[in-house]
Amino acid sequence: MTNIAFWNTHKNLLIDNALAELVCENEIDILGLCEYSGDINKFVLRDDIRMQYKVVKRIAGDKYAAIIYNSDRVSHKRLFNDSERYSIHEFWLEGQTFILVFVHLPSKLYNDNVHSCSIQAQMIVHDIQCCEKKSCNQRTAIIGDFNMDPYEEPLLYCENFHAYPDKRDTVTARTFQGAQFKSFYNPMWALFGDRVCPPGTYYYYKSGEAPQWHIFDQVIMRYEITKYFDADSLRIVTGTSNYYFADNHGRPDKEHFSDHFPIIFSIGG
Amino acid sequence: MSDSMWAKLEKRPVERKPEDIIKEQCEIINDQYSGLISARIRRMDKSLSEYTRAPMASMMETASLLATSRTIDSMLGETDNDKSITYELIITAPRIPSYMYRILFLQHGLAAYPTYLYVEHAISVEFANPLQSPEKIDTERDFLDILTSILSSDRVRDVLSRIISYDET
Repeated sequence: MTNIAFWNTHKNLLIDNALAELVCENEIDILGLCEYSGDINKFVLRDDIRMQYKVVKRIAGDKYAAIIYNSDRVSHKRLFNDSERYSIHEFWLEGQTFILVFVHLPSKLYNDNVHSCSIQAQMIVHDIQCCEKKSCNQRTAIIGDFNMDPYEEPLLYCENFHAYPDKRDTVTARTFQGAQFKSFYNPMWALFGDRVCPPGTYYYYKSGEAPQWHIFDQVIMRYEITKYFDADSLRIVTGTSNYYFADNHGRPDKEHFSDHFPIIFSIGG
Repeated sequence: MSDSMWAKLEKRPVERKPEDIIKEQCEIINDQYSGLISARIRRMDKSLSEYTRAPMASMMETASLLATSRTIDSMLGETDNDKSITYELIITAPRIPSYMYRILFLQHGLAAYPTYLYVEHAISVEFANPLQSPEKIDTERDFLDILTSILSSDRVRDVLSRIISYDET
């Protein structure tokens, strides 16, 4: 199995110890980060990281975004494109090529230059489709901080991410107004509510507004990946052996770690 | 016979299309950095769409839609038909196979202007008044001014410099 993790680390300069433990305890093969203020080239050389990690070289990526991978188990074949908000990569893992897209979409809370989330989603999906043609495969997953919940329109609309909670709805493309739209499966829907703790990856309280808990950090995937996806592996992580990422209320401890919890999932088999 | 009631006509210069202006700039940089950078403007086969429908109020509303046979997309709302032609300005590099960096999208209708630009946030914030998404441009003169600022921005210069300096090892 290939273990993949993503964490928005809130520009915490002191996150490296917890991050190293997260990576080692969960045997992470590919790690995506955003709002990472550390030196990722130094991080991969830490003595307490047993695996051999390499840093994915990027060109136009945001300086606070980083991706590392366990070079003993996976290989990074090519960078298709990158920009401030996302990057599209081809990885070799589990004996096949996969397209992994890492995103950090604009926050609605702090974005004072009104970028349409819908337009952003369309750009990303357009680029993904081009890359899928180049790669001749549609084993594509998008991982990252979407800064929106699974039920928000840019994640649902057919011209946007078009991500459904039931993978059976993602088998074939939908036809809408004469055009075909492929879709994604969004397994994050299964993590809503309090049957699974925590009930989200991000907590935001504003008086009078619901739902307070949000699942901003997500993975969505093409149907072609679902047969490799271990649904039981998908989790929102609240800590490691020595570090607890939540505060006394069970919410992300942004003072000591981050305002987001990391997510982990596995594909393979 | 009565006097002419027509206004005096004047022959006005035809405004250049924004994609033609960009194409000229692509040729300039391609000549300058031949073999290292390939800039081109290409037409996209689909438009980017923005919808005027108000956002869904809550998860409850979404959940109820998913539970029925109605499709969410039937509630998309109106789109703007003044943006039916879409181009993208992209940078590729012969030394970095398959890689592409997009500087901007532009859209317009049958008339070249107004034209609408979508640029990366990292570029737009360099402007004294950050560009909107989309940024509406009404004349060729305005387009020339904005394009100059975009192509000479720190962000574009930084990315292109990284591309020409890229070393796979």
